[in-house]
Amino acid sequence: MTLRFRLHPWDPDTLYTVTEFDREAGEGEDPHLDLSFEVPEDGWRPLAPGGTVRRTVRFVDGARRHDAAGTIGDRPCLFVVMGVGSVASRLGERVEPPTPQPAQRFVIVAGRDGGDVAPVTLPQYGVTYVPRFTDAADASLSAYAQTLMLEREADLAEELARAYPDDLVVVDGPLRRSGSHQNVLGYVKTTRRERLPASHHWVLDALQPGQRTPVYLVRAGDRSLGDRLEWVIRPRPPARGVDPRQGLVRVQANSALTPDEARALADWSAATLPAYSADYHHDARAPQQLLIVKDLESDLRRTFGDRELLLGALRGALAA
Amino acid sequence: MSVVGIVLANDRSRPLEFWFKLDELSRVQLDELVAVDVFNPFNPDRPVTVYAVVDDLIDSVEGLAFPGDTELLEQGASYGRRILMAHARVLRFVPDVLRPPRPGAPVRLALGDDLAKALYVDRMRDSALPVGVLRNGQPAYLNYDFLCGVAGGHVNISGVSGVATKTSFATWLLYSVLNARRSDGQYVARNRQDVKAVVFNVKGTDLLFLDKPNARFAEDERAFCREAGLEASSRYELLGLPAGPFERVACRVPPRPGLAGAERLAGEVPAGATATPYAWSLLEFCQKGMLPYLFALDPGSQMIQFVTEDVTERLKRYAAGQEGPHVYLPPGEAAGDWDPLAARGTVEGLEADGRVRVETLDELAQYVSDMLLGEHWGRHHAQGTVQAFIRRLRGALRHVRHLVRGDLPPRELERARLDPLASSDMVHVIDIHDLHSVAQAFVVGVVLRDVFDQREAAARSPGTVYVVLDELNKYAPAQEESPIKETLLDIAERGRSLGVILIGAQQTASEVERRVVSNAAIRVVGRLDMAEAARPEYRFLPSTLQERAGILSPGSMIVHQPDLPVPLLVTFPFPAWATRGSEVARPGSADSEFDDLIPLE
Repeated sequence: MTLRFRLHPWDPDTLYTVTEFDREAGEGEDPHLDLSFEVPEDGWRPLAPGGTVRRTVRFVDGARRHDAAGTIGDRPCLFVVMGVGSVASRLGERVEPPTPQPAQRFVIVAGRDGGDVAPVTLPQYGVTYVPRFTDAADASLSAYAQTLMLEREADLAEELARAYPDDLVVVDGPLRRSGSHQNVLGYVKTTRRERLPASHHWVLDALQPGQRTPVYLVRAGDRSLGDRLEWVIRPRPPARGVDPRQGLVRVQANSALTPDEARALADWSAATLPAYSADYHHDARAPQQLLIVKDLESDLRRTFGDRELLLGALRGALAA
Repeated sequence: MSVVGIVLANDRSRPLEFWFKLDELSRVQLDELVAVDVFNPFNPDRPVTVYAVVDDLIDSVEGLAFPGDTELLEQGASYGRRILMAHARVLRFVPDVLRPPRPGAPVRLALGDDLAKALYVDRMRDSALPVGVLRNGQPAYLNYDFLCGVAGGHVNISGVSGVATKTSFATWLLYSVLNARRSDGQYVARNRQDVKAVVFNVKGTDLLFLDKPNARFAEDERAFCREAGLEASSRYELLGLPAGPFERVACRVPPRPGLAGAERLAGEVPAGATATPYAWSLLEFCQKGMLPYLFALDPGSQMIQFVTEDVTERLKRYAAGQEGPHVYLPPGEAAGDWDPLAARGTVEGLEADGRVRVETLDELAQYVSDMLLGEHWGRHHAQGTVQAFIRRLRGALRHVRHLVRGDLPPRELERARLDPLASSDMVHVIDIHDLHSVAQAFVVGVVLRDVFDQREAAARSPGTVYVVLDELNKYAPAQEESPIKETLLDIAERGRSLGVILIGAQQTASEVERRVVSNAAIRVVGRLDMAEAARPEYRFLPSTLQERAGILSPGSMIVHQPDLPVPLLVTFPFPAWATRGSEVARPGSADSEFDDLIPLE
């Protein structure tokens, strides 16, 4: 049989830069999947939830930018700015824009902290880059910056889940805490390697917006952070000429949930999240990208300041 | 200080315009006046205050990439930050240092002293004449010096008939001139007791009730103020004006045609109005050379105009020294020119010296025709031209024969005399609405010429004469020449120094003689046709006001005056005088009401 070319829904530049850092713990390992967590393994089919409750959902996301690259001694360093925030939404009601929080700035230095690196301050803008060190041999500076940001996102998600026990918290990206709060969901936009067995792929292909796969359990591998529950939803009907397998989203939840609790969350996500998904003209990462998360990202970027001005100021500050 | 927002850092802060971010709850709408303090590098201790008027408002959502996603905002699936932006057009700098406001600087409402400065009222001093109420409920003023002829003069009002309320505004302005007082109690209008107004009533009978109190206006004003959130029961109160009818008014109506005997000088007076008829004597017609005004709108070819001039001069010469109302004219200078016996069919009225007594305009026309067709008068003119003149004369005759009379006894003639400057009345309403356009032009032409000539002949008289005339496009059209246009041009160009001020109005300024419009120091615009608003005659309106002119509601006018760089949008009060019979207030007698409403001088 002749294979047909199909397109990925994302913009190629986005696909090959953004996802570079979106690695999941345990990725590349052999999958240990328990497909019978919600329904028997041989009973898999797309599930369409009935009516679900309307709940307030808090989306958590981060954005970052490289302000400048440099060296300290013979060590490379990277000046980054990042912001992490959340926005609450209840479908059918206008969103109250979140109160802007100041962005955080770091200078990431390769190697150990020798106690000899001082923060870099730009007094004219009231900005300070705080040193952070990474000695992981294989990690690039920007990957470390990404990790810093994801950690902050995970912290914020847990904080919100505790503060608002009735609300759901959706983190952009995979769950990063093994013991995450039961109301925190991970929203995974990319799947580098399909871990579901080939016998079940037809369920993915048949998924419609508003439907989901049964919930399955992903068991932790050696390097992973812990077990988690997962299910797959389709935010929008696939675009023409696009590989239908590429428009899917995996939603993750704490593995300690009972099947009933997990089912309720899964049903809610399948019924609700498609309403937030970006249309193809909105974003390079449509249809998986959530429009409100994109809004949050650009909102966060507003606090970053003008890159050219900061670069000029850094040159001035470091010239002395 | 009531801060309503901050100057936006959007690269648009300039000396003459800037944007500011508006607090959503602040009570600011279009036309609001604001002030910002700006650092003064020439005198750091004394900041520059920039005064401006809000002429545009934008409510938008920042961060929304596609307007089509607005529904997603409503559904909570997307969000952005709402921003309310106001565009301000700068009116004034105090002191005069032209600097843009600093982004981030607080913008405050211009109230009290700020407001007076924003509107240059501090500079008008004793000449501040209330012209209307601003949208924020504050009074707006005209500089009277630019109205009465001291620094400038004449008013030109444009607007679509029916909705632009041109006549109402002109009347209101007149009311303000006659009633506004300064803080020291003196009238704003200097020599107010000598001020005269000649108002032509061209449409309906509205203006014939100027001297009657309006029974309805108080209620209408209260309703208006309530709806607009004004803290007063009427805009008269806000502007510090009494509310009442005009005083010392003479309403004059044309006599009804075809009347004779005891009733020969009765006019058509609408119920509730008081008016006396007007007419000119045949002698005046000849002595003052009124003949050309029979063709005031269409004087005909140059050849015909020669005949008109020739005849006018002859009539003047013959009538000199006579006592009217009739006129004695000489018999023909050659046999066959004029046979009085044949003309009259009787010897009655024939003088011993052969002159004949002419009592009606028809007789005069007959006389003129016969003379022109005879040898003596006619020999200077081609037969065809003479024939054409006679046709015109006959054509005009039937429309004006009741206005020019030789058949009235002196007492009635005195009653019918139309001489506003000699009269003790202040406001003269001359009704021409029911006349044929030939007769309308005759009346307007004769009255204006008379007023102008009297003023020109006399030394500078103390009081200003205001002439209110609608339909300028008819009397001073951009294209054709006519005697009446000549008079209007005289007034427009020289009237200011003679104290004759034209408050003219028309639907479209583009159709009016440019020199008449451009001589008006004060331009007023009511609702305009959109295409008209785009014409160069309205360049004095900033583009936003040009657009607004297309949607102005009745009772709102845009007023431009030399003192203020930006025109103001004002509303003016409902008339406190009646505009139709049904509005006339008469509990008991109209006169007692009249006394209640008008403060004694």
